[in-house]
Amino acid sequence: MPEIFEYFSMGGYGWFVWPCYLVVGAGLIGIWFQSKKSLEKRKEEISALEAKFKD
Amino acid sequence: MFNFLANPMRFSRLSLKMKPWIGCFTLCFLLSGLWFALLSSPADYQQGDTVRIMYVHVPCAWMAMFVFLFLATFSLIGLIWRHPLAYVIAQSAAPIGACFTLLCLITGSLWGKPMWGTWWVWDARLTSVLILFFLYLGVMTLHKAFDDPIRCEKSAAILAIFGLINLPIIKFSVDWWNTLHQPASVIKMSGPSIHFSMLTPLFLIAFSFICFFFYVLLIRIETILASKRLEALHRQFGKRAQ
Repeated sequence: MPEIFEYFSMGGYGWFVWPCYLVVGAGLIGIWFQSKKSLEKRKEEISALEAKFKD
Repeated sequence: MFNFLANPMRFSRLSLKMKPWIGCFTLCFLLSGLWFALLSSPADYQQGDTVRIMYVHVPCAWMAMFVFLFLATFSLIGLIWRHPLAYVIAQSAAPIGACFTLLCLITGSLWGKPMWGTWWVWDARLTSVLILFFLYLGVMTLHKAFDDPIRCEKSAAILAIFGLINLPIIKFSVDWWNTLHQPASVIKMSGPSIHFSMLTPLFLIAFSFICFFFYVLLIRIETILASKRLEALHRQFGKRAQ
């Protein structure tokens, strides 16, 4: 157990190292998710309009 | 090739084939890079474990500059050959580049506090990267600034091409001016001055970010092409209703 705490404390710099990885992870997942949602929304709108055309 | 891909249906088909492969490469490089960065690589003899910030900060900085070069190249192609897909690619790349630049600034700040004793300093390297972030914001704003899309594309392209001046300033700022930021230690004439055990995670994470960029770029290009298709459908629908 002490080894795990020691690892996460990163020699006393854990408060700087871990937030870096969290911020980068959140930023990249955020832009991927926003891009994916935006594409899905456009595709749904196109399908709805095309269905309207057929009617 | 460019004309062939400008068709949204064709582009979607190609994108569908490429995305799983690029996604796989992104994950493989990222997971192996993280394993080396957080578990296998040693702490620095001076900086201790804060050196692990380098494995995300430096690839973000490389991507911030690479994406701007990519954006400006496609802006130039758009201006010279007037190809609409070039502008679409440039427009799609800008928010991803802005994201990498912001992450570079935040991680740099988190590294600066324990090493320099300050979150921020107005020195040449940090200021020029902040200017790069504002250039990205400017390009993104210009893409939506006017009612005429051609005017938007051209003005954003011109700003992107002028913004290229900032890239050598970022690269050589640590040599031209006195700065707290350390000088280049990977991309330099005499070769890298970092040990192999530290270069491995650095390059693996950089490769994963490159793959990630192209993965998200494909999604964003598809989105813009879909928006154009949607506009065309709305026009057709409007005509039919009349």
